[in-house]
Amino acid sequence: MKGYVYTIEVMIAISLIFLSLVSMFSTPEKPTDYSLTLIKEQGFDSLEYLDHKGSLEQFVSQQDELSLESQLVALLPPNIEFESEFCTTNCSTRNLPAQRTVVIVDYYTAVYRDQFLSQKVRLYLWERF
Amino acid sequence: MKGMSQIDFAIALGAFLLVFALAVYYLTNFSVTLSDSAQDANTYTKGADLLHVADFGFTPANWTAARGVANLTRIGLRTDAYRFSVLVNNTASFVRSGPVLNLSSELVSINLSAFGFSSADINSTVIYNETNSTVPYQIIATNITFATAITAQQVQWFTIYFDDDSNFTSRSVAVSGVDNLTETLFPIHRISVMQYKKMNDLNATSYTGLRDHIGIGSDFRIRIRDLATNASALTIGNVAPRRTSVTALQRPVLYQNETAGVHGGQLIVEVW
Repeated sequence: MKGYVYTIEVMIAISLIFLSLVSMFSTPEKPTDYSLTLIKEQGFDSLEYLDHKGSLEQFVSQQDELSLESQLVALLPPNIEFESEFCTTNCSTRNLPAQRTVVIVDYYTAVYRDQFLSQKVRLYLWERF
Repeated sequence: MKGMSQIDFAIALGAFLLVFALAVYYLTNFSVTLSDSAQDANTYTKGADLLHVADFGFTPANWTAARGVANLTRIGLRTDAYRFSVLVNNTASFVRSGPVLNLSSELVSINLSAFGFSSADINSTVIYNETNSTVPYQIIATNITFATAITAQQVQWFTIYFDDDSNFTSRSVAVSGVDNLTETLFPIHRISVMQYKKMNDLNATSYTGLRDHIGIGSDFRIRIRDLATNASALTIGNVAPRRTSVTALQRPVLYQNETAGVHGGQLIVEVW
Protein backbone atom coordinates (compact mmCIF):
# COMPACT_ATOMS: atom_id res chain seq x y z
CA MET A 1 0.00 0.00 0.00
CA LYS A 2 2.90 2.32 0.88
CA GLY A 3 4.56 1.98 -2.53
CA TYR A 4 1.26 2.33 -4.21
CA VAL A 5 0.52 5.67 -2.54
CA TYR A 6 4.08 6.76 -3.20
CA THR A 7 3.61 6.11 -6.89
CA ILE A 8 0.41 8.14 -6.88
CA GLU A 9 2.22 11.01 -5.20
CA VAL A 10 5.02 10.92 -7.74
CA MET A 11 2.49 10.92 -10.57
CA ILE A 12 0.74 13.91 -9.04
CA ALA A 13 4.04 15.77 -8.56
CA ILE A 14 5.12 15.17 -12.14
CA SER A 15 1.69 16.23 -13.36
CA LEU A 16 1.98 19.46 -11.43
CA ILE A 17 5.38 20.14 -12.98
CA PHE A 18 4.06 19.54 -16.44
CA LEU A 19 1.00 21.65 -15.70
CA SER A 20 3.33 24.51 -14.78
CA LEU A 21 5.31 24.09 -17.99
CA VAL A 22 2.12 24.08 -20.02
CA SER A 23 0.86 27.25 -18.42
CA MET A 24 4.21 28.97 -18.95
CA PHE A 25 4.63 27.98 -22.56
CA SER A 26 1.06 27.87 -23.76
CA THR A 27 1.26 31.41 -25.06
CA PRO A 28 3.72 31.49 -27.96
CA GLU A 29 6.25 34.29 -27.90
CA LYS A 30 4.95 37.32 -29.75
CA PRO A 31 7.03 37.86 -32.91
CA THR A 32 9.04 41.05 -32.87
CA ASP A 33 6.99 43.79 -34.46
CA TYR A 34 9.12 45.89 -36.79
CA SER A 35 6.22 47.77 -38.32
CA LEU A 36 6.54 51.01 -36.32
CA THR A 37 10.29 51.17 -36.87
CA LEU A 38 9.82 50.53 -40.55
CA ILE A 39 7.08 53.14 -40.85
CA LYS A 40 9.21 55.79 -39.19
CA GLU A 41 12.21 54.94 -41.32
CA GLN A 42 10.20 55.01 -44.52
CA GLY A 43 8.64 58.33 -43.61
CA PHE A 44 12.02 59.90 -42.92
CA ASP A 45 13.62 58.38 -46.04
CA SER A 46 10.82 59.75 -48.21
CA LEU A 47 11.19 63.27 -46.82
CA GLU A 48 14.96 63.11 -47.17
CA TYR A 49 14.60 62.01 -50.79
CA LEU A 50 12.29 64.94 -51.55
CA ASP A 51 14.74 67.25 -49.78
CA HIS A 52 17.68 66.03 -51.88
CA LYS A 53 15.56 66.28 -55.00
CA GLY A 54 14.84 69.92 -54.13
CA SER A 55 11.07 69.46 -54.01
CA LEU A 56 10.49 69.56 -50.26
CA GLU A 57 11.68 73.12 -49.77
CA GLN A 58 9.66 74.18 -52.78
CA PHE A 59 6.50 72.74 -51.26
CA VAL A 60 7.20 74.41 -47.92
CA SER A 61 7.92 77.71 -49.60
CA GLN A 62 4.63 77.56 -51.49
CA GLN A 63 2.77 76.04 -48.50
CA ASP A 64 1.65 73.33 -50.91
CA GLU A 65 0.74 70.36 -48.70
CA LEU A 66 -1.33 68.77 -51.43
CA SER A 67 1.63 68.42 -53.78
CA LEU A 68 3.78 67.03 -50.97
CA GLU A 69 1.14 64.44 -50.14
CA SER A 70 0.71 63.42 -53.76
CA GLN A 71 4.47 62.81 -53.96
CA LEU A 72 4.43 60.83 -50.72
CA VAL A 73 1.63 58.59 -52.00
CA ALA A 74 4.00 57.43 -54.74
CA LEU A 75 6.91 56.94 -52.35
CA LEU A 76 5.31 55.23 -49.36
CA PRO A 77 3.91 51.67 -49.41
CA PRO A 78 0.14 51.40 -49.83
CA ASN A 79 -0.31 49.97 -46.31
CA ILE A 80 0.80 53.25 -44.72
CA GLU A 81 -1.51 56.22 -44.32
CA PHE A 82 -0.21 59.65 -43.44
CA GLU A 83 -0.98 63.28 -42.82
CA SER A 84 1.49 66.13 -43.33
CA GLU A 85 1.75 69.55 -41.74
CA PHE A 86 4.01 72.56 -42.28
CA CYS A 87 4.46 74.08 -38.87
CA THR A 88 6.90 75.46 -36.34
CA THR A 89 6.08 74.80 -32.70
CA ASN A 90 2.34 74.14 -32.72
CA CYS A 91 1.46 71.45 -35.19
CA SER A 92 -2.12 70.52 -35.91
CA THR A 93 -3.29 67.00 -35.18
CA ARG A 94 -6.53 67.12 -37.12
CA ASN A 95 -7.45 64.19 -39.40
CA LEU A 96 -5.50 61.76 -37.24
CA PRO A 97 -7.15 58.43 -36.40
CA ALA A 98 -8.30 57.96 -32.85
CA GLN A 99 -7.61 54.26 -32.38
CA ARG A 100 -4.23 53.81 -34.02
CA THR A 101 -0.59 54.10 -33.05
CA VAL A 102 0.66 57.15 -34.93
CA VAL A 103 4.34 57.69 -35.65
CA ILE A 104 5.66 61.25 -36.02
CA VAL A 105 8.57 62.30 -38.22
CA ASP A 106 9.85 65.89 -38.11
CA TYR A 107 12.02 67.13 -40.98
CA TYR A 108 13.52 70.60 -40.78
CA THR A 109 13.93 72.80 -43.84
CA ALA A 110 16.09 75.90 -44.04
CA VAL A 111 16.11 77.63 -47.37
CA TYR A 112 14.54 77.52 -50.81
CA ARG A 113 16.46 79.49 -53.46
CA ASP A 114 16.53 83.01 -52.05
CA GLN A 115 13.92 82.40 -49.37
CA PHE A 116 14.53 81.57 -45.76
CA LEU A 117 12.10 78.95 -44.53
CA SER A 118 11.39 78.84 -40.86
CA GLN A 119 9.18 75.78 -40.80
CA LYS A 120 9.47 72.09 -40.38
CA VAL A 121 7.57 69.34 -42.12
CA ARG A 122 5.75 67.09 -39.68
CA LEU A 123 4.62 63.76 -41.03
CA TYR A 124 2.13 61.62 -39.13
CA LEU A 125 2.11 57.97 -40.23
CA TRP A 126 0.09 54.94 -39.24
CA GLU A 127 -0.76 51.53 -40.60
CA ARG A 128 -3.82 51.29 -42.77
CA PHE A 129 -4.94 47.94 -41.31
CA MET B 1 -12.20 -7.29 -6.43
CA LYS B 2 -8.87 -8.09 -8.07
CA GLY B 3 -9.23 -6.21 -11.34
CA MET B 4 -10.41 -2.98 -9.65
CA SER B 5 -7.44 -2.67 -7.26
CA GLN B 6 -5.39 -0.43 -9.62
CA ILE B 7 -8.16 2.03 -10.58
CA ASP B 8 -6.59 5.01 -8.78
CA PHE B 9 -3.27 4.28 -10.37
CA ALA B 10 -4.88 4.10 -13.77
CA ILE B 11 -6.62 7.44 -13.30
CA ALA B 12 -3.40 9.08 -12.11
CA LEU B 13 -1.50 7.59 -15.01
CA GLY B 14 -4.15 8.84 -17.40
CA ALA B 15 -3.99 12.34 -15.95
CA PHE B 16 -0.22 12.27 -16.18
CA LEU B 17 -0.27 11.20 -19.82
CA LEU B 18 -2.82 13.89 -20.67
CA VAL B 19 -0.74 16.64 -19.12
CA PHE B 20 2.40 15.24 -20.69
CA ALA B 21 0.76 15.35 -24.11
CA LEU B 22 -0.37 18.94 -23.57
CA ALA B 23 3.11 19.91 -22.42
CA VAL B 24 4.69 18.42 -25.53
CA TYR B 25 2.13 20.15 -27.74
CA TYR B 26 2.61 23.61 -26.25
CA LEU B 27 6.36 23.35 -25.95
CA THR B 28 6.60 22.29 -29.59
CA ASN B 29 4.32 25.14 -30.63
CA PHE B 30 6.40 27.56 -28.60
CA SER B 31 9.68 26.30 -30.08
CA VAL B 32 8.42 26.46 -33.66
CA THR B 33 7.10 30.01 -33.17
CA LEU B 34 10.37 30.99 -31.54
CA SER B 35 12.29 29.51 -34.44
CA ASP B 36 10.09 31.30 -36.98
CA SER B 37 10.47 34.60 -35.12
CA ALA B 38 14.23 34.18 -35.00
CA GLN B 39 14.34 33.44 -38.71
CA ASP B 40 12.15 36.45 -39.53
CA ALA B 41 14.35 38.65 -37.37
CA ASN B 42 17.40 37.28 -39.15
CA THR B 43 16.13 37.99 -42.67
CA TYR B 44 14.81 41.41 -41.63
CA THR B 45 18.26 42.32 -40.26
CA LYS B 46 19.91 41.17 -43.48
CA GLY B 47 17.41 43.14 -45.56
CA ALA B 48 17.93 46.26 -43.46
CA ASP B 49 21.71 45.87 -43.82
CA LEU B 50 21.43 45.59 -47.58
CA LEU B 51 19.16 48.63 -47.69
CA HIS B 52 22.06 50.58 -46.25
CA VAL B 53 23.84 50.39 -49.61
CA ALA B 54 22.08 53.73 -50.03
CA ASP B 55 23.93 55.20 -47.03
CA PHE B 56 27.52 54.23 -47.78
CA GLY B 57 30.00 53.83 -50.60
CA PHE B 58 32.15 50.78 -51.21
CA THR B 59 34.69 49.80 -48.60
CA PRO B 60 37.51 50.25 -49.60
CA ALA B 61 36.42 53.50 -51.21
CA ASN B 62 38.44 52.90 -54.38
CA TRP B 63 37.07 49.39 -55.01
CA THR B 64 36.13 48.55 -58.58
CA ALA B 65 34.85 45.36 -60.16
CA ALA B 66 38.27 44.83 -61.76
CA ARG B 67 39.79 44.31 -58.32
CA GLY B 68 37.48 41.38 -57.63
CA VAL B 69 35.09 40.72 -54.75
CA ALA B 70 37.89 39.31 -52.61
CA ASN B 71 39.01 42.89 -51.98
CA LEU B 72 35.52 44.17 -51.20
CA THR B 73 34.60 44.64 -47.55
CA ARG B 74 31.30 46.42 -47.90
CA ILE B 75 28.79 47.07 -50.68
CA GLY B 76 27.69 50.67 -51.11
CA LEU B 77 26.33 52.76 -53.95
CA ARG B 78 26.14 56.17 -52.34
CA THR B 79 28.21 59.16 -53.25
CA ASP B 80 28.04 62.84 -52.41
CA ALA B 81 26.83 64.94 -55.30
CA TYR B 82 26.05 68.64 -55.32
CA ARG B 83 23.12 70.77 -56.36
CA PHE B 84 22.76 74.50 -56.69
CA SER B 85 20.40 76.96 -58.31
CA VAL B 86 21.09 79.74 -60.77
CA LEU B 87 18.78 82.71 -61.21
CA VAL B 88 18.72 84.47 -64.57
CA ASN B 89 16.76 87.67 -64.11
CA ASN B 90 16.12 89.92 -67.10
CA THR B 91 15.14 93.04 -65.20
CA ALA B 92 16.85 96.39 -64.87
CA SER B 93 18.81 95.54 -61.70
CA PHE B 94 20.55 92.66 -63.42
CA VAL B 95 21.26 94.13 -66.86
CA ARG B 96 24.95 94.93 -67.26
CA SER B 97 24.37 97.83 -69.56
CA GLY B 98 21.63 99.31 -71.69
CA PRO B 99 17.88 98.78 -71.52
CA VAL B 100 16.00 95.61 -70.68
CA LEU B 101 15.54 93.67 -73.93
CA ASN B 102 14.44 90.27 -75.11
CA LEU B 103 17.56 88.16 -75.31
CA SER B 104 17.72 85.28 -77.74
CA SER B 105 20.87 83.75 -76.34
CA GLU B 106 21.97 84.95 -72.94
CA LEU B 107 25.21 83.29 -71.85
CA VAL B 108 25.51 82.00 -68.30
CA SER B 109 28.99 81.11 -67.10
CA ILE B 110 29.85 79.22 -63.93
CA ASN B 111 33.27 78.43 -62.53
CA LEU B 112 33.17 75.43 -60.20
CA SER B 113 36.64 76.29 -58.90
CA ALA B 114 35.23 79.51 -57.48
CA PHE B 115 32.96 77.33 -55.35
CA GLY B 116 35.94 75.40 -54.08
CA PHE B 117 35.39 72.42 -56.36
CA SER B 118 38.52 72.59 -58.47
CA SER B 119 38.76 68.78 -58.57
CA ALA B 120 35.11 68.12 -59.38
CA ASP B 121 34.27 65.86 -62.29
CA ILE B 122 33.20 68.69 -64.54
CA ASN B 123 31.87 66.18 -67.09
CA SER B 124 29.30 65.08 -64.51
CA THR B 125 27.60 68.46 -64.68
CA VAL B 126 23.98 68.36 -65.68
CA ILE B 127 21.79 71.43 -65.99
CA TYR B 128 17.99 71.37 -65.71
CA ASN B 129 15.64 74.18 -66.59
CA GLU B 130 12.28 74.78 -64.94
CA THR B 131 10.55 72.19 -67.12
CA ASN B 132 13.08 69.60 -65.94
CA SER B 133 14.69 69.39 -69.39
CA THR B 134 18.47 69.21 -69.67
CA VAL B 135 20.30 72.19 -71.08
CA PRO B 136 23.42 71.65 -73.22
CA TYR B 137 26.59 73.38 -72.09
CA GLN B 138 30.18 74.04 -73.08
CA ILE B 139 33.20 73.28 -70.94
CA ILE B 140 36.25 75.48 -71.15
CA ALA B 141 38.82 74.60 -68.47
CA THR B 142 36.75 74.74 -65.25
CA ASN B 143 34.11 77.01 -66.71
CA ILE B 144 30.70 75.76 -67.68
CA THR B 145 28.73 77.94 -70.06
CA PHE B 146 25.19 77.54 -71.28
CA ALA B 147 22.77 79.75 -73.14
CA THR B 148 19.13 80.57 -72.67
CA ALA B 149 16.55 82.66 -74.46
CA ILE B 150 14.91 85.04 -72.02
CA THR B 151 12.36 87.77 -72.65
CA ALA B 152 12.34 91.19 -71.02
CA GLN B 153 11.24 91.12 -67.35
CA GLN B 154 11.34 87.32 -67.31
CA VAL B 155 12.95 85.31 -64.52
CA GLN B 156 14.36 81.85 -65.10
CA TRP B 157 15.70 79.30 -62.65
CA PHE B 158 18.18 76.55 -63.43
CA THR B 159 19.22 73.64 -61.25
CA ILE B 160 22.74 72.30 -61.67
CA TYR B 161 24.09 69.00 -60.39
CA PHE B 162 27.66 67.74 -60.39
CA ASP B 163 29.72 65.01 -58.80
CA ASP B 164 33.28 65.13 -57.51
CA ASP B 165 34.44 61.50 -57.80
CA SER B 166 32.80 60.14 -60.91
CA ASN B 167 34.32 59.63 -64.37
CA PHE B 168 31.80 60.67 -67.00
CA THR B 169 32.83 61.49 -70.52
CA SER B 170 32.53 65.00 -71.83
CA ARG B 171 29.24 66.16 -73.32
CA SER B 172 30.51 69.64 -74.06
CA VAL B 173 28.97 71.34 -77.08
CA ALA B 174 29.67 74.71 -78.62
CA VAL B 175 27.52 77.46 -77.13
CA SER B 176 27.28 80.99 -78.39
CA GLY B 177 25.57 84.13 -77.22
CA VAL B 178 26.14 87.34 -75.33
CA ASP B 179 26.45 87.86 -71.59
CA ASN B 180 24.15 90.81 -70.92
CA LEU B 181 22.92 89.88 -67.46
CA THR B 182 24.41 89.30 -64.03
CA GLU B 183 23.25 85.92 -62.85
CA THR B 184 22.80 84.95 -59.22
CA LEU B 185 24.27 81.69 -57.97
CA PHE B 186 22.91 80.20 -54.78
CA PRO B 187 24.71 78.09 -52.18
CA ILE B 188 25.53 74.52 -53.00
CA HIS B 189 23.61 71.72 -51.32
CA ARG B 190 25.27 68.39 -50.78
CA ILE B 191 22.97 65.53 -51.69
CA SER B 192 23.12 61.76 -51.68
CA VAL B 193 22.91 59.89 -54.99
CA MET B 194 23.49 56.32 -56.12
CA GLN B 195 26.55 56.75 -58.31
CA TYR B 196 26.52 55.44 -61.87
CA LYS B 197 30.12 54.22 -61.60
CA LYS B 198 29.35 52.21 -58.45
CA MET B 199 26.18 50.76 -59.94
CA ASN B 200 28.18 49.63 -62.97
CA ASP B 201 30.85 48.05 -60.80
CA LEU B 202 28.25 46.14 -58.82
CA ASN B 203 26.53 45.04 -62.02
CA ALA B 204 29.81 43.70 -63.37
CA THR B 205 30.31 41.50 -60.32
CA SER B 206 29.23 37.89 -60.12
CA TYR B 207 26.19 37.59 -57.86
CA THR B 208 27.14 34.22 -56.35
CA GLY B 209 30.71 35.38 -55.76
CA LEU B 210 29.41 38.52 -54.08
CA ARG B 211 26.86 36.66 -51.97
CA ASP B 212 29.39 34.10 -50.78
CA HIS B 213 32.07 36.70 -50.12
CA ILE B 214 29.96 39.04 -48.01
CA GLY B 215 28.80 36.04 -45.99
CA ILE B 216 25.15 37.02 -45.88
CA GLY B 217 24.07 33.38 -45.78
CA SER B 218 20.92 34.09 -47.76
CA ASP B 219 19.96 34.79 -51.32
CA PHE B 220 19.03 38.35 -52.13
CA ARG B 221 18.18 40.76 -54.89
CA ILE B 222 18.91 44.49 -55.05
CA ARG B 223 17.08 46.60 -57.59
CA ILE B 224 16.70 50.24 -58.44
CA ARG B 225 13.51 51.03 -60.30
CA ASP B 226 12.98 54.43 -61.90
CA LEU B 227 10.02 56.11 -60.21
CA ALA B 228 8.84 57.89 -63.34
CA THR B 229 9.25 55.20 -65.99
CA ASN B 230 9.36 51.97 -63.91
CA ALA B 231 12.46 51.00 -65.92
CA SER B 232 15.13 49.04 -64.14
CA ALA B 233 18.30 51.00 -63.46
CA LEU B 234 20.04 48.22 -61.52
CA THR B 235 19.37 44.55 -60.82
CA ILE B 236 21.70 42.32 -58.81
CA GLY B 237 20.69 38.83 -57.73
CA ASN B 238 18.08 36.22 -58.51
CA VAL B 239 14.33 36.41 -58.68
CA ALA B 240 12.80 35.30 -55.38
CA PRO B 241 11.21 31.83 -55.49
CA ARG B 242 7.46 31.72 -55.26
CA ARG B 243 7.16 29.41 -52.28
CA THR B 244 9.30 30.88 -49.60
CA SER B 245 9.28 33.61 -47.01
CA VAL B 246 10.75 36.78 -48.49
CA THR B 247 11.62 39.97 -46.65
CA ALA B 248 11.28 42.95 -48.97
CA LEU B 249 12.27 46.51 -48.03
CA GLN B 250 12.37 49.64 -50.10
CA ARG B 251 13.37 53.30 -49.94
CA PRO B 252 13.38 56.17 -52.45
CA VAL B 253 16.78 57.32 -53.72
CA LEU B 254 18.27 59.61 -56.32
CA TYR B 255 20.47 57.87 -58.87
CA GLN B 256 22.72 58.85 -61.76
CA ASN B 257 22.18 57.50 -65.24
CA GLU B 258 24.80 57.05 -67.97
CA THR B 259 24.74 60.75 -68.88
CA ALA B 260 25.00 61.94 -65.26
CA GLY B 261 21.32 62.80 -65.20
CA VAL B 262 19.87 62.69 -61.68
CA HIS B 263 16.62 60.74 -61.42
CA GLY B 264 14.30 59.48 -58.72
CA GLY B 265 14.32 55.74 -58.09
CA GLN B 266 13.06 53.12 -55.66
CA LEU B 267 15.75 50.97 -54.10
CA ILE B 268 14.21 47.54 -53.41
CA VAL B 269 15.95 44.82 -51.44
CA GLU B 270 14.63 41.25 -51.18
CA VAL B 271 16.13 38.59 -48.94
CA TRP B 272 15.09 34.96 -48.53
